[in-house]
Amino acid sequence: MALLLDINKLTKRFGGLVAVADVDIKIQEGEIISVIGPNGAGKTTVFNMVTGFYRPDHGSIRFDGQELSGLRPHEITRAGIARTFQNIRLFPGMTAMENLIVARQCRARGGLAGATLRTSFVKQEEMTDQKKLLGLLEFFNLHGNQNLKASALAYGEQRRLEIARALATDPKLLLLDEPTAGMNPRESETIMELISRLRKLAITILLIEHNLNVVMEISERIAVLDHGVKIAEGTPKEIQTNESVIKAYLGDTVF
Amino acid sequence: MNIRYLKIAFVIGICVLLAFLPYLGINPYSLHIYTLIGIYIFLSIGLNIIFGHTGQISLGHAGFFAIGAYTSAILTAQLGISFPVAFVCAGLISLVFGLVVGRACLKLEGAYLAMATIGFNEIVRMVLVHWEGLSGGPAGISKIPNASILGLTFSTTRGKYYLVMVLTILGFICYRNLISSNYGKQFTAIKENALAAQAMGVNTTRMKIIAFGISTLYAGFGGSLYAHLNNYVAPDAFPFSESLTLLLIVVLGGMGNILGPILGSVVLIWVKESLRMLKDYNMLIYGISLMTLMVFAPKGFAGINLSFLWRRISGKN
Repeated sequence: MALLLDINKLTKRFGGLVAVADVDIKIQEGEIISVIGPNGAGKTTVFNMVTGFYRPDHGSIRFDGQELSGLRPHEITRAGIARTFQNIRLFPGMTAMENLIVARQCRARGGLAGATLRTSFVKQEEMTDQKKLLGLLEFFNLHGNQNLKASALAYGEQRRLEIARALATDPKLLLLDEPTAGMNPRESETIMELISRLRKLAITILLIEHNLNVVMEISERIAVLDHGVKIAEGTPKEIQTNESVIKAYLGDTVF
Repeated sequence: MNIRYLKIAFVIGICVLLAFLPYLGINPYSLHIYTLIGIYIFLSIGLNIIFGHTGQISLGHAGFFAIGAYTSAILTAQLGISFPVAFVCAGLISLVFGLVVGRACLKLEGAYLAMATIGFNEIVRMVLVHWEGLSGGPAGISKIPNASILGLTFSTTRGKYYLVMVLTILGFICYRNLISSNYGKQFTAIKENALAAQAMGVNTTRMKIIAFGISTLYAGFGGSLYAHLNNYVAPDAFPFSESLTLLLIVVLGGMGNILGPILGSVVLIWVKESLRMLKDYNMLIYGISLMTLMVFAPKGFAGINLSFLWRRISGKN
């Protein structure tokens, strides 16, 4: 197993607030790793640095041997990292299929001129993509909705569409920011099942999640952040018994 | 499949109508207006790409329209260059200005972008008024030769009509191809959610500049056709209010709808011309009809849902 993502001494300050301080996270190819921690612990900030939305003040992010800090979000996506958002950010007025098509474009080879003149190469490519994306919709049990606007989908379907859209970019690493937020237990179950199926497809996953049942069940390793600092890392079992984690979640006086 | 055949039949019908329109006993003035509508379709296709599809407002498109018109005028009337070359140059020079302005301004959003593009429009107009050596000053450039391609000269109203119609149709086909392609969906994604588009690998900065560039290319082509339609250009044809007219066409026709530029241009130019006889009341009625339209058809003409309307009218629900 090769090292896929190597986050090293990552630091981000917002004014006087240190949101993330000297965080190290390493991810091997094919793993599922979760980042947990109380609200405001800096989890999403780490995501935003890895995906290029924030520029780290310090530290490095190496992905597949390439330094990522300084790259812009679309460059990072093209390098093979895709993400979802904590609060859904689909293209609401576009159909489910169009949402995927946009994401797929970062792998497309037909450019502006080809599209304008509608060359046979572009037609061919669009047909191949269409087939591939239909398969993706099917995987997420959304194939009946391909021509519905994203805004017309039910909440759970929108969440699934967002993951499908991220996968349409052909990522090596998938970053999921609270994929089960706002879901009922049954819907969460579906998402968990999907995530474990993705894993079988050899996709590496970095997960932020509040639902600890989900986290404990599917992750191989867990990193715990609190106030921007990584306070623990280990297997679900180790984390469950780790004292500083319990302290961070439940407070100081423990029984 | 049936709907597909209906569509094809409809398109063929429209083409036949357009081809025989000059022979249907229409007076030259009306034909001139139809030609003008073609030019406005060109211009508003441009604006729809950047504003309707990509969601970045431009209130300076009359400036690019002017650049196209003057480029063609100067090249043909003063330098004796042939129309096809001048036409292409008009588009390209407008495109170059578009890329420069786009690069500088597209970091701005909403009201700020609107202000910056208004500024550009005014700069172009002032330069045209004051740089007499280049533009002929307020009097403009007259005696622009008629367009001619490979010995075929478009000097009559009919000839000009055909030239503009054919080029407009070609321009529309390219536009339709681009917007309905997978590539073109990136434009809409920027309008829908720019942050998510970035996260999905869309180079939003680059795509916005491309959209702006294409839109100014169309404006430049429209300008060239305009110069050779009237054989005369002057700065007062390109005020800020002209940019507003283009914006109105796009909004009324239907923002981000492929048919929007056609419907908007046809209705707006036609209404504007037919209201002329009302003289002073003209703008009053024009204004009131615009307001009414926006209230009852906020998505523009292309967005009017006929079956929904019919159900409302017929009282069935």
